Amino acid sequence: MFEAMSLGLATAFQPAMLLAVLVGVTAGVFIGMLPGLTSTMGVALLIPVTFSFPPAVGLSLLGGIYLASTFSGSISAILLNIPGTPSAVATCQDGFPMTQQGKAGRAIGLSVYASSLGGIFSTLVLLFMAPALSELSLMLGAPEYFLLALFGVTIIASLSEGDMLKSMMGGVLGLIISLVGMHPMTGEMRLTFGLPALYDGIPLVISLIGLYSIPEVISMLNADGKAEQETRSSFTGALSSLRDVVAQKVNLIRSSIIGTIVGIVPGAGSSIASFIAYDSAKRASRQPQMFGKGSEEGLIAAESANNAVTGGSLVPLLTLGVPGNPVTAVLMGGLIIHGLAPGPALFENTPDIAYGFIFSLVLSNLIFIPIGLLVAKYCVKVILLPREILATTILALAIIGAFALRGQVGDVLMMLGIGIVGYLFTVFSVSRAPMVLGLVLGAMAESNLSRALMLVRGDTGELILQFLTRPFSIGLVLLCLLSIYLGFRKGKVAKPTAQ
Amino acid sequence: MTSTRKNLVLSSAFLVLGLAITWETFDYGAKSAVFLRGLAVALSLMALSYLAINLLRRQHHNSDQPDTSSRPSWLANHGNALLIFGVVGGYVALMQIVGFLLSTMLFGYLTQLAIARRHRLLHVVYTVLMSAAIYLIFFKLLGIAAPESLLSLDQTLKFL
Repeated sequence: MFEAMSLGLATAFQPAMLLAVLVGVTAGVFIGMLPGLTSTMGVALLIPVTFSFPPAVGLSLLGGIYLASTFSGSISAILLNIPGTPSAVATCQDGFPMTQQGKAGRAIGLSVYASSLGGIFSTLVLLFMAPALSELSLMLGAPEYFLLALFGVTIIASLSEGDMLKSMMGGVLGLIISLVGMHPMTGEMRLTFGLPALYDGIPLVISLIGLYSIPEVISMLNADGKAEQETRSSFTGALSSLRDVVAQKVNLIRSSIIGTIVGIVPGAGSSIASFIAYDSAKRASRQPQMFGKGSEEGLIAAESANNAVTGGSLVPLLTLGVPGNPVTAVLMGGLIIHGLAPGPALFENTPDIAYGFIFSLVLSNLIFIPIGLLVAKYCVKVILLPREILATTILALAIIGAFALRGQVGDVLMMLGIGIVGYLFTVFSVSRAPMVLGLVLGAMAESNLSRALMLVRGDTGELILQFLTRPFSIGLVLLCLLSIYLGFRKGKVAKPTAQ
Repeated sequence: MTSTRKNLVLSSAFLVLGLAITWETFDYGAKSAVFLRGLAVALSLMALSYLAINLLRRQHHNSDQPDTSSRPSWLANHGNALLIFGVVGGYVALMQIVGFLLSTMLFGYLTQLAIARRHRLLHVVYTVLMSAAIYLIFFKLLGIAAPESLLSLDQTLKFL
C-alpha cells in the first residue's frame, strides 16, 4: 500500500498535474462564486476539456474544480449574503454579519483556512481509511437515511433566531415546498396546480437564489449606504486568521468528522453537513448567543464541514463505484470516459492514478488558500460599487443563474416567487435558515420514508421496530431525541432571559 | 405594524396555507399524501398555536396602539420591493419577446435608472459591458442555450 502511495505522490507532483490542479482550482473558485453555477455544473462543463489529457491530469483538474467551488460559494455568502452554492448557506449565518461589522477579510480568511483544513482532513481519511468506511456506507439503509433527514429537521429549533415556533413554521414550509412535483415512488403530481414547470419540483439552487438574492437586493436599496459600504469593504486580517482557526482545533476536528461522515452517506450532501456541524458547534460553544451575529466558531464549523464532505463523498465512489451525490456521479462519468473503472480495481490496477488523484486533492486544498484569498481581496471591492450597479448585477446574475440551471424561463419565475416569500420572511422577521434546511431535507426524508415503508410492506409497526432494532437507527433515534430535548431546553432558557 | 400584529397576520397566513394544503392532499393517493399531509397538519397546528399565543399576548399586554403611520408609509417601506419584483417580472416577459441581449440591456439600464438617476453615461456603458460579459460567459463559454424568443439573436444583433 505504501509503495502504491509513493507512486501516487510522485504522480501528483508532476508539472502537468500541478498545472491541472492550479487551473481546476482557479476555475472552481470563479464557478462557485456565481450563484446558479454549482460544483456539479462546473465539473460537468469541464469534463469535455479533459478528454485529451492523461487520466490522472484530467481527474486532478476536475477534483480541483470540485473542491474550490465547494469553498468559493462562501465568498458571495460572506460578502453579499448570497450563497454561491447550496453548501454555503450555513456560512451566511455568521459570515455576512462579520462583513457588516467590517470583518470581511477576517471572515474570508477563516473560511479559506477552515475549508482547506476540513478538506485535507477528509482527504487523509479517504487515503487511509477508505475501504473500512465504504463498508459503513453499505450498512445504512432507507430507515437510517430517513432518520438522518429527521435529525436534520430537529436542528431547526437550534437555528431559530428569536421565536422558535415562527422558525419551525418556516422550516415546515421549506419541507412542503421541497415536496412539490412528482412523488418519488408513486409518480403522482402534488401541488403543481397543472403547471408543467412544477412537475420536476423546485430545484434547491433556484430556491436558494430567490430566497437570498431578491431580499438582499431589496435590503441593499433600503439601506442608506455609503458609510456601511465602506465598513463592509474593509479587507484586513485575512492572513492572520490561520492561527485562530487552528486554535479552535476541537471545533475544527468535530466539524471535519461530521462533514466526512455525512459525505460518505450517499445522498446527504454538504449543505446538511454544514448545518449539522454548525448546530453542534453552537451547542458546544460557551457563547451560543453569538451564533447568527458573526460568530467565528459558527463560520469555522460550517466551512470545515462542507469541504470535509468532498473527501467523504469520494470514499464510496473510489472504493465501491457508488456515487453518493450529483458531483461524484459526474466525476464517475469522468473516470469512465478516461477508461477507468471506479471500485476496488482502481487501486489495484492503476495505483498511480488513484493515489495520484487523492494526493492532488490535498494539493488542491492547499492551492485554493492563496487563490481564494487573492480573488476575495479584489471581490470585496465589488461592495464599493454604486448600489444601482451592484443591485442590477446581482439581479442579472440571479436571473441568468436560475435560467442556466435547466434552461427554462419558468425557473426564473419560480426564483422570483421564492424571492417574494424570502422578502415576506424578512418583513415578518422569520429566519430563512430553517426554511433552507427544510428545502434541503424534505425530498430526502420523504423518499427514504417511502422506501422504508415499502420494505416493510407498509406496516408502520414493523418500521418502528426496525428503527429500534437496527444499530445505526437506534443511535440516530437517540440523537433526534437529544436534539429535540436540547432545542426545547434552549427555548425554556431563552424565554426568561428575553422577559 | 407592531410585532404582535405582524405575528397575527403571519400566523393567520400560515394557518390558511396549512389548511389549504391539508385539503389539497385529500385529492392524492394515500401513499403520495401521507408525508405531505403530516407536514400540512403540523403547519396548521403550529400556526393555530402561534395565533392563540399572539391573541393572548395582545389581550394581556394591550400594547398594540393603532398604527396611524403605517398606511402612509406603506409604499415607502415596500416601494423598493415592488420595484424589484416588477423589473424581474418585466425582464422575464421581455426576454421571451425581444431575446436575451436586448432585454438584458433594457433591464440593466432601466433598473439602474429607477434606483438612481446619476451617471447616466456610466449606466449605459455598464449595461453594455454587463450584458456582453453575461452573454459571453454563460452562452458562449459555458455553452448554455439562450432563452427562446420571438426575435432571434441575429435579428437582435442586426437591430443593435
